[in-house]
Amino acid sequence: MSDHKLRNIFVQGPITGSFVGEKISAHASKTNIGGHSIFLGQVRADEIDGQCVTGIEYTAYEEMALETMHQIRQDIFEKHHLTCMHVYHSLGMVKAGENSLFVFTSSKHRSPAIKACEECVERIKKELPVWGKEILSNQSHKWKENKN
Amino acid sequence: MEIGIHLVDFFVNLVEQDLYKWLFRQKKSNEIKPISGIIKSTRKTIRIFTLYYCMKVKILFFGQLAEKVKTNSLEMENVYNTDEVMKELISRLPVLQDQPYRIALDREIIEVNVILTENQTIALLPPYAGG
Repeated sequence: MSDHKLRNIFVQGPITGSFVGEKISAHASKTNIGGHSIFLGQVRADEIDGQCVTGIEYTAYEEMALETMHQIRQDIFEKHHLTCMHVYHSLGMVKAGENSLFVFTSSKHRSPAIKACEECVERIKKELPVWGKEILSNQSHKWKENKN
Repeated sequence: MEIGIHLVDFFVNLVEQDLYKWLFRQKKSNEIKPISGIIKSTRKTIRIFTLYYCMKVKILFFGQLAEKVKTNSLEMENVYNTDEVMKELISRLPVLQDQPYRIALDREIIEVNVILTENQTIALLPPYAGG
């Protein structure tokens, strides 16, 4: 994995159902896979100070995020017996109800895929330099902060 | 990059900190930074050479910090280490003082003071919110 070039994980706008579907279908030819695990992060319409979150505008320190993601990927492949792993994160506006994070792990049997998927999501939340501006219904905003 | 050279003899009982204080005073007049080293050491004196040079770094702001300081980036010259950059930044942008952030030097989080090299990038990273 160490000589793998940096993969881009960022997509502009929401991660759509059809995008997720295409990625799943693309694995049909990989017949050594016995299980996939998928995590989809969705923007919640939280209520903040009487206002509703209508969407989140994402920004990132892209170069650093891709380097960090490369390290996470390496660590996870060393620890879990995976066939493959795909990560996509939104940039720009994602409305409430739409998806902003897609983590997709596959392995011969279910366990490595499930464990790796969870670990990957946790590390993304903790380690990727990504920021989210929660846009409220009165056009004001609040900066999102990940809870540990 | 501007470079100069200066030689000076010190008595050996001067501690390192005194040397830095002296070097600091020397550079005040011309706003450039010293690098120093010892070229001759006898029992009673140390001969020190001092190279003066200017360092330029780029500073990036993200998320709520970019909003607070009303810019995504700026450049700073004549800086020597990351502590000095932060001190200078806070004096220029006092709004940073009570903000939570971590510092990345060339895309790596740093926890301690680091001496800079030319054209490095420092980024101020507020709490992450990915996912």
